[in-house]
Amino acid sequence: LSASASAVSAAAAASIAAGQTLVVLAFWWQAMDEPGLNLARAGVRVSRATITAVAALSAVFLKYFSRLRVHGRDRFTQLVASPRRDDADSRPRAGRPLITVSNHASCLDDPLLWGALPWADLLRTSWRGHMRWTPGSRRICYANPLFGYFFGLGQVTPVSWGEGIFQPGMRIAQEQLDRGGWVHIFPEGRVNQSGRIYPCKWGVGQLVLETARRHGASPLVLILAHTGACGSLSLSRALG
Amino acid sequence: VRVALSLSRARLADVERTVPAVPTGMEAILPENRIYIPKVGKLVRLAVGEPFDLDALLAHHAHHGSTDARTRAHIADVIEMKLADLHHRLVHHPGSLD
Repeated sequence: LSASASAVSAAAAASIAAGQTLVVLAFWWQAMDEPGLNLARAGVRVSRATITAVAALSAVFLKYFSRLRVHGRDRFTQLVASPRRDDADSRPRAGRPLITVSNHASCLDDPLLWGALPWADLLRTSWRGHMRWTPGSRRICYANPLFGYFFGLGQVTPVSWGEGIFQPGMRIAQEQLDRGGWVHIFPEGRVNQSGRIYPCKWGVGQLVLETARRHGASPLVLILAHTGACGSLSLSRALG
Repeated sequence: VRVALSLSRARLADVERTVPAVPTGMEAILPENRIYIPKVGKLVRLAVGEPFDLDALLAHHAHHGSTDARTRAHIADVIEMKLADLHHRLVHHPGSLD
């Protein structure tokens, strides 16, 4: 038992080290484009570097350390990814806002799912800053300042149960949709390994309604359903 | 025990908010840190639905002068139905995808 525990902790330490190395490398490459010091731009670049590094790790895990089967990868890529061979300002979906919706089977659903995108599309999208924004539990993602810093860079906005559909974390997501961005929502509002879908909370309805009102066109909605993530990361596993 | 634990875990946030006493000892039984170490070699399946918009539904509610509360609840219900449908097909009828 202790041997397997030490192997697991060694693997965790190795992946953390790899992640940190990737963030530093990616930030360095991003910073190469920017002459002089501009703190606001530097923040954006740290964020993009973080997202790219996490996306790369997710893709490695999903593509090479899991068995992955995707139904409808083409439309997934077309909607989500930045277009190829255009200028750096080109926007996915010609700027039409996108809301993706999925079930929530494990704590790592969010970064892992995007690892299902083809490598080039995943890296291009995260590198150009077109990655999703997503509301995440304040209790978990913002449990301490370090987590908050990391998840903030990763474009996760803090939301809490009981604070309603107009809480700040949801306003930030709404602003991204107003700019034609991409917001991912787990509408069940919790991790759910029951095998059924829980009732969806109304925040997703408010995002659609308000985006249609402000943007003139209602957002595209893309449903993603997945299974197996709870095998990779089971809540009940810790019970033995 | 497992069912009872998972139930109490699902309701933990409710309990914390409504009851001033926070249950203790759960951490020892279900260490939070253990669940962040993923397992290797599992089959992960992802189904991507057809993209859609809710223009027709929004127009319908605008025509009838529905309140925002009713409109967004209806949108959430539609999304729930589509998500449940796709999830069901992925689990029970994967051949119907693609």
